[in-house]
Amino acid sequence: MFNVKMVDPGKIVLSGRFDASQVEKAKGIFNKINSTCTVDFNDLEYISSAGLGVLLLTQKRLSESGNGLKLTNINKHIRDVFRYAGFDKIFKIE
Amino acid sequence: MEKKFKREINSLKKIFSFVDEFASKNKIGKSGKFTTRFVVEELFTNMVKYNTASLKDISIGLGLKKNKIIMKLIDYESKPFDITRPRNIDIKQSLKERKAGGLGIHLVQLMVDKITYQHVKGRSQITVIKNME
Repeated sequence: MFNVKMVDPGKIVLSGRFDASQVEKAKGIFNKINSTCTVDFNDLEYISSAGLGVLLLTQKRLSESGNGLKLTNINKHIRDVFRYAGFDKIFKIE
Repeated sequence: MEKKFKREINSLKKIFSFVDEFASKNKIGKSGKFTTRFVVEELFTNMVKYNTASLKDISIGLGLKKNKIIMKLIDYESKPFDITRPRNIDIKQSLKERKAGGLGIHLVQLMVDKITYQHVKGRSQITVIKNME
């Protein structure tokens, strides 16, 4: 089960399992962002490279206008994946 | 335990249930379960995306031996694709230089302890070993 919700224009909340079958659902929300946005990972238990791809493309698009994603409450396992992927260098992680 | 899954991304829900059942039966902790999910998803989706010529199901086997998780995926009808080859992903690239895609196998290679690949008579078999922490 995966859920992605824009709780206000500056905040997205993720929960469950962000795998390759959830990419289109996630894009439907992430593609609506046009300014700096916080993404809350508190209830996200899993992400694969497909999910990382959605975050990366959003970050690239936002950076063109001087904006970006701020990622918060990331669990240890997802944090390890981010580190292996070098995402800790291209995202603001709080 | 071993099971065959339809060659489509939507099989992932059933695959995760299969992984969770394995983890539960073998008392695999959160870290081992996360890695097993990740490896199985990346290898399975790679077979689905890059081998569209076959309609045959893909087999996934999971086992635990001497504190090692053993994951085995078999694509019964495929061209050779050696996933043990380094992916040449530069994670130090700037955001502007980074491209989406190609990261999955690179991450699998970093997360596990051993990967072997065999391609015999059109059949690809990948075996991955992850030592339990």
